[in-house]
Amino acid sequence: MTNNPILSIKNLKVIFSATVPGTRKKVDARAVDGVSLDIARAETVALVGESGSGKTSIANAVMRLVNPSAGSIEFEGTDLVKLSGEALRTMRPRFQMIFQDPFESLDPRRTVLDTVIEPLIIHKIGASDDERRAMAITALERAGLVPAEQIGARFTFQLSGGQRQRVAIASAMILEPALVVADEPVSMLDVSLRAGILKVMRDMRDRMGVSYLFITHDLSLAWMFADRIAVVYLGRIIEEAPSAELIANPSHPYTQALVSVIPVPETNSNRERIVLSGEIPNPTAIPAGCRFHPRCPKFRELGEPSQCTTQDPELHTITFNGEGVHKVACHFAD
Amino acid sequence: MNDVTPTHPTGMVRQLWRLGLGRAGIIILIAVAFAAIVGPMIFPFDPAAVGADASSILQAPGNGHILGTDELGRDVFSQLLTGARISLFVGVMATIISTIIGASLGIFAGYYQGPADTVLMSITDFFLVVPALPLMIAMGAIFGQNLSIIILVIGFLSWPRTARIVRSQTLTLRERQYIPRARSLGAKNMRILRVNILPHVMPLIIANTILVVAGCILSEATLSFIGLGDPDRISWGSMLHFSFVSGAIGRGAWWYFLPPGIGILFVVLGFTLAGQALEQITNPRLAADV
Amino acid sequence: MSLLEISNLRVAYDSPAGTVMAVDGVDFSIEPGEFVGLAGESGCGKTTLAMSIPQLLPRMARITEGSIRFDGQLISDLNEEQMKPFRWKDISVIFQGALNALNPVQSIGSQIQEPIRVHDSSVNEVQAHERMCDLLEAVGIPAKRALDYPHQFSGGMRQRVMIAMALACQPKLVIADEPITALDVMTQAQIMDLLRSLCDKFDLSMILISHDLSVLAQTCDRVAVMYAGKIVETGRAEDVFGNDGAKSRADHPYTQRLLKAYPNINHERVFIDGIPGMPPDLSQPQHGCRFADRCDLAIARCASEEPRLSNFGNNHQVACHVATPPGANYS
Repeated sequence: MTNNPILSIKNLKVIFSATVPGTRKKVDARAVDGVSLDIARAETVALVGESGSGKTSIANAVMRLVNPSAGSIEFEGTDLVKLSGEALRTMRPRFQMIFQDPFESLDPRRTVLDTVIEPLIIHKIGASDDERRAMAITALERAGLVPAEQIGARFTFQLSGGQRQRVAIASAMILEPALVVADEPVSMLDVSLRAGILKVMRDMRDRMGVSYLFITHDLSLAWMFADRIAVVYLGRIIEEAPSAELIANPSHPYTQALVSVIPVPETNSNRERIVLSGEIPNPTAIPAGCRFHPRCPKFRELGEPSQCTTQDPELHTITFNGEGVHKVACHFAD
Repeated sequence: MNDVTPTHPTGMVRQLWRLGLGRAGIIILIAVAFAAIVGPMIFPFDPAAVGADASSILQAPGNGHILGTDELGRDVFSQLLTGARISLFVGVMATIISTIIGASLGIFAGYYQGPADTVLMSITDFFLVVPALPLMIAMGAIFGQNLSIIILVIGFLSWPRTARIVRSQTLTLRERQYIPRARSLGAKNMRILRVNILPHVMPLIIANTILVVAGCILSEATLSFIGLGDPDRISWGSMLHFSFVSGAIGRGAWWYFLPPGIGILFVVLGFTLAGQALEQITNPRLAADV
Repeated sequence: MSLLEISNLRVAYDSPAGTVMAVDGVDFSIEPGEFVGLAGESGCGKTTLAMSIPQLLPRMARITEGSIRFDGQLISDLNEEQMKPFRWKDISVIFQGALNALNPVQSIGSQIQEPIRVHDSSVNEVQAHERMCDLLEAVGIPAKRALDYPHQFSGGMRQRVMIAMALACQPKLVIADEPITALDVMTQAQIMDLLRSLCDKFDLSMILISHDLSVLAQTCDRVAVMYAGKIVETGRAEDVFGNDGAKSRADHPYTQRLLKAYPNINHERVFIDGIPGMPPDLSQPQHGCRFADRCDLAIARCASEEPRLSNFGNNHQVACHVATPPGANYS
């Protein structure tokens, strides 16, 4: 376990109220169903999962854009769940977010410079307009947007997707946060542009020691960029390990399947693909016992053991050769 | 991605000019504004000057009176120009009240939603449902007939439309991803409303406002026509009223009742054309039909 | 004779900003039963190229030069009426985001039968229903769900319905435009496997458009890589995606660099590389190789002379002045 983590999520739950389609019945959608995770200083942890896994809800809960139903989010010693109003606002500069859609997340009518200065104005940082402007120019340069003055004068709608994402990063970093939640920051960008954006994020980490909570559906991207990966399924973390270890030795059947279908731009890749049937269930109808058992190949292989249908497995540690901890939530993990 | 609706006034006017209807609207409005503001200064006749003797009553155009005289020998043309001022004044003032109330309520309801939204929308629905004319008559009867009351009454009865439109636009804007971003930066709600939402709703508000002016002018004309206008002021509605009451129609004194009628028609047309064209430009849902 | 032969095709888009040559001199062919991947990043022209085949281009686009032959017949100069018999029966299309294009108030079984009824008057109701059930089974949907409505299906299932519709009239060529982009990675694998098996089972040709090179490697027979309106490299999957150890067999610098932009779990864990710069503005006339200003292997000739596709063996074609075929002597 990381000592003195900068972020410590304990038993987080986010439950939405949903109506069953076609009826008036209200049911609970347990988007996040008991998640615990620690992130250390300058560490990058990736949350990987398919859509409907709850990873975005976890991110929104950490950012307090959505109210958790239970659990705690300890950040730099304070429980964010208990904060609200002015107290929460004063903490905001310490944890920022980069959103997925570069075309939607920036106000198209504002100039680039205004967008980057905005956080400074909100938190009354900087003694004068000139000082704020200088800070913004530096932030833009660090994000790789040069010449910064020229680009700063343009409106955000005039920029390309990659450029907008750099603006988003600059405006998140200008407050020098300790934690940045990045929600699929490159998934809407062309492949050849992704490296540039990720390098900016990596450089910020090296310079400022910022920690990342990196949300993605792309397991190979998580492997490349993050120190640790936590795999999310239906609101729970079902496996967690350092990136190289997770890909090399996935233990949970779901992770094994995910790793096996990672598309690789190679033809002589002799991996056996485990293509699961069906799709991830709705969070209003989470299967009993282990939530993965209906799709689990191992469950069928082992003759449908009753543990899987009755007991919800807890995350437990398994041993491996290497640095860090490998945890998995499965009754029959490898 | 680059089709941002113009917020800058010159941008809007330029786009308006390109649309045929918008162009017609602008031309009409400029003509009317010119007539109303400059007109009474150029034309010498005092609209209140009563005729010297019986022979000057209801005279056809001629003899120095471009549009003849009314039943008291007053020059119709001067009345027309003066009346333009009143009609426009009432229309614009009432619209200002209406827009301020309507837009504020609309934005608040759309942004905060929840109980505030329900309450505000119920109030809006009430005012939408209440029959406007009887209410105006009743209020005129209760509070008396002076210009300020009339402006207030008309203003109060036309804000629901604005509120609904603004609320609808705000609801859409609220879902854009830059709103959660603003909140994650720590912006207070008032700031988000002012900086992130208002500029985007503004074009729609302006377009709607122009349409509301047309409606208010028409409302004023209606009130004056049925005799509930301010008796001390000449407006086009009151001209129609007196032309009717004095039997000018039966006497065939077309120069008395046609001009104000056509005047109202033109002004309302001008505002409506310009407003609808502007709405097409600013409302993203309508823009596809351009 | 190839099933489809595109020769020197040029497609222009008329926009207020000027004319954009979205496809600027492309030769492309596909054999019966072949599964071809058409890859490239946004703006490279892949969708325009594919949509010009059934003449489903937007109003502002037009073919300015070149020809498209289907089964030997010239189809690029046909008008709308003449083109209609080809659509759905010979050439069908699965559009991007199609899984959201299903009619919400019509059962999926009925929607699948529609193309059959419309385009094949010889088929009666019973036969149409039977064929619909066969199609559902072929795409992995239990036939008993034919009466269900689109909202009762997940994204992946709806995409299967779209695939069934595309196959309804037994076409010879299916064009699939980014069919898996909106789906989860597991569902993507399922759909790619499905498309491959359908291609084999019904012996049809498929053009799969994708901005994601990595999903094409496992499934396609051949791949064509597009950049700025031109095909820069085409060849068998193993020639473009194969590698000899760490060195990839792709020969065009753009393809090579694009491949390095994908994290590859079979190799060492290194940070990916991007390609700095941006593709050229296609509303301006182009001189020389369009990738030259972003290419670190460019020589003087690249700026002035446009490279043509040349054969490197096994129909592996590369348009580059600098790339050399394996075992060749170049001065």
